[in-house]
Amino acid sequence: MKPRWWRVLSAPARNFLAQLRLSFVSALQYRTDYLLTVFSVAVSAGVEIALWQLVLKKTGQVRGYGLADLIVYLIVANVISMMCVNWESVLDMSEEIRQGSVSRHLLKPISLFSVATGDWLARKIPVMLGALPVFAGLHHWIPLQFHPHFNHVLMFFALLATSLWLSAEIYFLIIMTAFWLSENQGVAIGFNVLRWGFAGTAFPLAFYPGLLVKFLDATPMPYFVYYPTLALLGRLPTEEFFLKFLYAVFIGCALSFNRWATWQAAERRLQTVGG
Amino acid sequence: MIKVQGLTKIYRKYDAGDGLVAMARNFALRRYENVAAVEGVSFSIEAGSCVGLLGANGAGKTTLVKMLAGLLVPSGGEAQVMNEVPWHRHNSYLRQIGVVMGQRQQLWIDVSARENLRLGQVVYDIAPAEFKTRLKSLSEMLEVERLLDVQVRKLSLGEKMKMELLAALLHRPRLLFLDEPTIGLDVVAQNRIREFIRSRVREDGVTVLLTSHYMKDLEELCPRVFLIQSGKLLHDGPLSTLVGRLGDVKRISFTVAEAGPVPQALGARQGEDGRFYLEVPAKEVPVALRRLMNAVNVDDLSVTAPPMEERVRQIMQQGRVSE
Repeated sequence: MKPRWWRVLSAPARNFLAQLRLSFVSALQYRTDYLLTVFSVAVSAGVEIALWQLVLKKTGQVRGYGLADLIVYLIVANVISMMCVNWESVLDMSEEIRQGSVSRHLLKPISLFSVATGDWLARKIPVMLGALPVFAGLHHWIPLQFHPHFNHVLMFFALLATSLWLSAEIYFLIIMTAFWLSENQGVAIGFNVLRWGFAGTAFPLAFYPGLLVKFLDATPMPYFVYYPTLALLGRLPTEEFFLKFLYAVFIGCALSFNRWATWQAAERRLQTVGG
Repeated sequence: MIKVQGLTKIYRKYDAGDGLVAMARNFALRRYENVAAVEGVSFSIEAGSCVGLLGANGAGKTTLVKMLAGLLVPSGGEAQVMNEVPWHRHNSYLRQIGVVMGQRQQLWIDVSARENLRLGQVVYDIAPAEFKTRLKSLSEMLEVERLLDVQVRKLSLGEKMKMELLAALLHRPRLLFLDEPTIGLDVVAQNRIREFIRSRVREDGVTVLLTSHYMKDLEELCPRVFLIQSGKLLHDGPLSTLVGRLGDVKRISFTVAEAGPVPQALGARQGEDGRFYLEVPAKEVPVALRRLMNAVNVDDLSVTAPPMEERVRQIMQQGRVSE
């Protein structure tokens, strides 16, 4: 038996992993959902690539991206986006708050943030595992010019970690809005639409006017997909990477504090009448 | 164990209105009103006791349980449960309570009960050896060993409820909140669950706060009962005392050879089973029987105490308990 201090300190991590395991087993029960999700992710990336093929046939290049660059960009961006975008658990958990069944989590000594994050990642991991070979198969279909340097891979993983962190915080904040707005699906849908347009999933943010890019830079948006993708493609200089990474950590800390403060208010608002 | 003083919970509600116009008006201008679900409730409960909560739908029983379990923050009043304020929801408190809500599942339905219990093992920090022993003994008691690896969604209502009880008791809570644990179950399953709860109170010394609409649950398990009506505590004491406040009443049940207006004229009402029922104070039974025999040709007759359910329903309909 481990010492008591160790058990107390490691409890949040153990709780999170236990929740992740349970949610993972739960996600594996839905085979049809799983196959359709993997298929839809691959199809949406394929459609984007086909559209850009048409555009670039005429122009040849857009803001430093040729067709081969753009294909690699879109594949990497879609993989990251697939990991970080969250519809299902946000909508499910918001509904649980609305219906009152969130009590099953609140009555246990586990934080709701652990439950929400564990559930989200558990749903993403099988999709990720299924979609990666599909994207890898593209390499045989379309000759990709993609040979990442070891440093780029390290920078990518560092920025991917911040992307996941920021996503978890923001999605949990969206879930929290259900304590105030019982019809908070609009918030989740709105955020995901904004994210599709401004996080760099659909195309590189460099395609936008400079002023908009500067504005977006001050928000968490480009840190979800754009910068991790640039890092892996070797389009993010090392000095800039450090600045971006530090700024992402700063935003993450601010969001974590915000999440903590919001939760203090939110948990007092639970209004479950009857049953 | 539990000390409650002036506990109050006020909900903010709005009336959606009737009809399209009212609903459109409500969309633009929503009028809220405050409704007291629980109002100034005070009591204390000793460790190791089993206390029943009785009341009509919407009386405030579940709200009271949810405040004591830490789910809802009250609008007023104080509560100390095992020297903690429940709604602070400290982990030290949550580790000591177990909650079963008959109308709200707490298990993840897509996985087996065993997977759910594994989460409980980690979250409640139960040592592997103890987990194994406890799981074996509880599952044997509830007769669910063979169902532990079945997806929860594929279990019957009674089996699910047994699993909920198992999950709630796995970490040896000192206090158990049971909100209608036998709702919708058949008589055999109800008896099994009652027997299980009784054994836990007796052997583990767990304190139980039980709400139920089934009078048998309360009669068999709870020496002490709270009656809650419109958020207020109307009675705190044995169930027999509560029923006794209606006075000693007997029910005369009879059938007659030929139907006619006479039984109704005597004050009897006809039940759905075709029998006539007449309720009279116990000491007036001989007089009532004499009048009945003189008035009609009685086929079959019995004199019994009215069922507890009906007597309690009477109290709830009256909305007050006479002193």
